[in-house]
Amino acid sequence: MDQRAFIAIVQPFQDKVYRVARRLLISDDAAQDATQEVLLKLWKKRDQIKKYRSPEAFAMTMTKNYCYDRLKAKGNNNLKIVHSNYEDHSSNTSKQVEVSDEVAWVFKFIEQLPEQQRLIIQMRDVEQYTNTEIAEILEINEGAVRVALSRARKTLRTQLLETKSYGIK
Amino acid sequence: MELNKVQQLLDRYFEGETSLQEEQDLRTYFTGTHVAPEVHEYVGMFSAFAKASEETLKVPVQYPKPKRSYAWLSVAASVVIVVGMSIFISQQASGHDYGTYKDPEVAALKAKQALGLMSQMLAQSTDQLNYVNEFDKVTTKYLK
Repeated sequence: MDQRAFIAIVQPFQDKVYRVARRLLISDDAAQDATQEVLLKLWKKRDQIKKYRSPEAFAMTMTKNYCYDRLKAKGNNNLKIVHSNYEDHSSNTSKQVEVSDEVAWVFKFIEQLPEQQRLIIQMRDVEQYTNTEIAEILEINEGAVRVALSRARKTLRTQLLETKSYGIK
Repeated sequence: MELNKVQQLLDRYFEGETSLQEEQDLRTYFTGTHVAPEVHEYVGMFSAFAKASEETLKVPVQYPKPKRSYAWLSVAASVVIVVGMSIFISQQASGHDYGTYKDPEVAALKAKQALGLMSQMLAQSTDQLNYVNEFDKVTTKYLK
C-alpha cells in the first residue's frame, strides 16, 4: 500500500482521532501529538490494516490505548488543563452569549468526568458511534457502555442544572 | 418537535436508551431556534456536542518520506561484474596466441637467426676482452 492509498483510508477519521485524543488529553498540543503518533503507528502497520473489519475502529482503539498510556505516564503533569477557547463566534446576540457560556461549562464538566465516561460521551454524543462500535473499540461489553453513557449524561445534566441555579441565585 | 415528544426523548436519552437517530433529532431540536423554555436548560449540552464535533486537526500529519531504494544499485553492479568477467574470459579463451611460429621450418630458421645474432654479439664482446689479456701479459712479465 502506498502513502496515497493509506491517506485515503485514514482521511475520513483523522479528525475523529484528534477529537477523541483532545477530549482525553485536554491539551491541544498533546492531542496533535497523539494523532501524529497514532497515524504513524497505523502507517507502520498498514499491511495489517486490511485484516481489520474497520480500520477506523482499529485506529480508535489505538488512540484510546495511546491516550490512556499518556495519562498513566508519570510525565503527564504537563497535561494539566489548558484553557481552551470555546467561544462561539457565529453570533453575537445576548442569548447566544448565554448559550456559549453554557457550552463552555459543559466542556468543563466533560473534562471532569472519569476517563472512560469522557471517552464514551465523546464517541457517542459527539462522534455518533453506535454502542456496538464503542464496545468494540473499548474492548468492553455493550451493557457497560450503556450504563457508563447514562451515568455520564446524568452527571452532566446535574452539574449543568446546579450551575444554572447558582447563576440565578 | 412537540414538547411532549422532546421530554419523552430526553428521559430515554438520560437512560442511554435512545437511538442514534433520536439523538440526532434532539441535537437538531436543541441547536435550532425554536426551543421550548421548559427544556431550555439542555441547549448548552447539545450545543456543546455539536460544537465539539466541528473541531478539526489543524496541523497536517507528517508521514515518513518514502525511502529511496538502492536495491537496484547492487543488481546493476553485479550485472557489470558478470558482463565484464564474461568478456574477459571469452577473449582469453578465443585468443591462444603465444607469439610462436606455426611452421617448424620458419621456426628453425628464425631460431638460427636469433642464435646467430647472439653468438655474433658474444664474439664481439670477447674481442674486447683481448685487451684484458694484454694487461695480463704485462703484469705476469714483472710479477714472476
